[in-house]
Amino acid sequence: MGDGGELAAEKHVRYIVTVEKKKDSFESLVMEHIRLNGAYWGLTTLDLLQKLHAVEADEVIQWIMSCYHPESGGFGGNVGHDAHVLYTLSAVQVLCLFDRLDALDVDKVADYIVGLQNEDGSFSGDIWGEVDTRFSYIAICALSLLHRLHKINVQKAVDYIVSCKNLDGGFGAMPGGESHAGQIFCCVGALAITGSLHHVDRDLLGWWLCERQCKEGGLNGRPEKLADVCYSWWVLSSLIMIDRVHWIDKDKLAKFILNCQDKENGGISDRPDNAVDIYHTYFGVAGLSLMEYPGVKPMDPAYALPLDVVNRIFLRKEH
Amino acid sequence: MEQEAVAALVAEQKEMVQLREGILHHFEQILHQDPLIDEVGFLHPTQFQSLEHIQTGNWTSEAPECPWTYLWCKDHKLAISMEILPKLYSAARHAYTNSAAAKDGPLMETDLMRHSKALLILCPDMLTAWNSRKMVLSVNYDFTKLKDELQLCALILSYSPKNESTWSHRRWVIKKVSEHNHDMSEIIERESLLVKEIAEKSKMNYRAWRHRCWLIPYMTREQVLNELKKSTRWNELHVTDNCCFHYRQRLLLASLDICQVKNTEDSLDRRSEVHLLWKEELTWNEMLIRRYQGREV
Repeated sequence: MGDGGELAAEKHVRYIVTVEKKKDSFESLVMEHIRLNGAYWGLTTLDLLQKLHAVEADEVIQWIMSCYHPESGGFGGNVGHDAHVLYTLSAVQVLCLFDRLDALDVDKVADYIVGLQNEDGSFSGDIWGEVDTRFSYIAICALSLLHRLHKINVQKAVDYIVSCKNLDGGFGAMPGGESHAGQIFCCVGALAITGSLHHVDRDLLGWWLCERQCKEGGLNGRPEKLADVCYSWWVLSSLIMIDRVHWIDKDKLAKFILNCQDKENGGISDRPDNAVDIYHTYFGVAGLSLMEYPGVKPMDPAYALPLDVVNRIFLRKEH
Repeated sequence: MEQEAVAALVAEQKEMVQLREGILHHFEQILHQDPLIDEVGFLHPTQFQSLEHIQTGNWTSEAPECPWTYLWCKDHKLAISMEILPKLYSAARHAYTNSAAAKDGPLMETDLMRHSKALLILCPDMLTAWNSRKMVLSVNYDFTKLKDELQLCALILSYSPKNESTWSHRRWVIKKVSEHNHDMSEIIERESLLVKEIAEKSKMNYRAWRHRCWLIPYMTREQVLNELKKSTRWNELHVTDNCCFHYRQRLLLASLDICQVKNTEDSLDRRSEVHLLWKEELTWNEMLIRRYQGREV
């Protein structure tokens, strides 16, 4: 691929729309259980590229609602799959993209998430009890989008996240868990949404995060790991939230992302010359959005949705 | 004319379904007969053909319905031909969905466990299938069955070491055991060894090391100190691996917690022992920094 050049936006749009339709390949069969996450990645990318109308909104919403479990209030990763917060947030986010939160029984969905908060403030991912700071972020982000954050014990939720802070300024999946850029995004995002960023040592964490930039310009997720396009989002959004984004070389990062494009068939991969997928296509475009790339809508670093979508939700506050 | 064509299509489809189910049945049979399988390989058809061929029973190996064309098992090693994967997967998926919908009765439970196992070996990310297993295992506490579950997780982790759902299921099983069984030391010992083996093959595997850190609160004082000793050599050989240094950091902190808890006679001894341990750590760390300059970790 060599010189990345410019963003091949139209090719990426076509790639996403075809992936959407290609349901019978073995790859899409073994991915079927996280299709709701896939829908969020693909549709958010389309919206960032101002092409959300390329899909039939009613069809998408109907399918999303067929993943809903009315007894519990949660969403499964696809029709017939068990409910989990991972898919519940994706469902809420996609409905936000289409401005169709009215399709939900908002209190029922909120109560599903509220019911997963534990005594120590942490959140389980589902009824089986696995705890992770990712689930704290998901719960806080989804409840905030639904205007139902007041239904949980926010103080305890924040205290739990703070208990996962490490000596290097980063955060892990649980108290004592190693710092990881993805987990840091979740913790910083949750703290930003709850107005608790004063718990973050901005200089210390900013230093750790900007050390993620590798020689070739891309970002990695932990020390000594290879750069990967998905960290463009996790690291960059965290740096923006703590106001230290000027500590990395944005031009080099943008070049790295553009070099990971498949300029013929569309899509973005984790590293140059690797096979593309929908996950990295989303994170690549989202990363460029955070760097104000022309033609890409600006993205909200905490809610992981286009800024205009987030504004629409919070400026029109009827709840 | 048209009717004939439809009938032929239906017959063809029926044949396909039978072929698929036959292979699934055979696959499940292999898993049932050899519970000690510790390695699974998904092979390209040409690679698969080069395997030493085994008894074909009533089939001639050229016949398309012969399962040995696609499955091979010897010395607890299982090979599956990539050619058959999509068909085998969809048969397992179909069988699992049917048995999950039927739910009631002990017979259904056996089916559910058998089909979900086949499905998870092919697609370990299938959270819902793991949940079905948890549901069945929650009914009656059965230590042997839970141990089998650990075996299944270990098998899947051997070829899919970063699989989140499998690690999570494993923690669920260990939690379940710890609720009923007070002596955890043997299980913890084995868990730690498993992570070590996986970490050797899958470098800086976040999920594997997270699992090891998660185990620390279940460890006895002796185990913490022992783990610390064992990790020294490992760290020296893996100086760029942040995971193992983080684990060591947690072990050191755990050693502090342990000596603070009880204020008994030997607590003074323990404190001086821990003090010495921390001093040694600093010397060792200095030596490593001098030996490997310019490494971030």
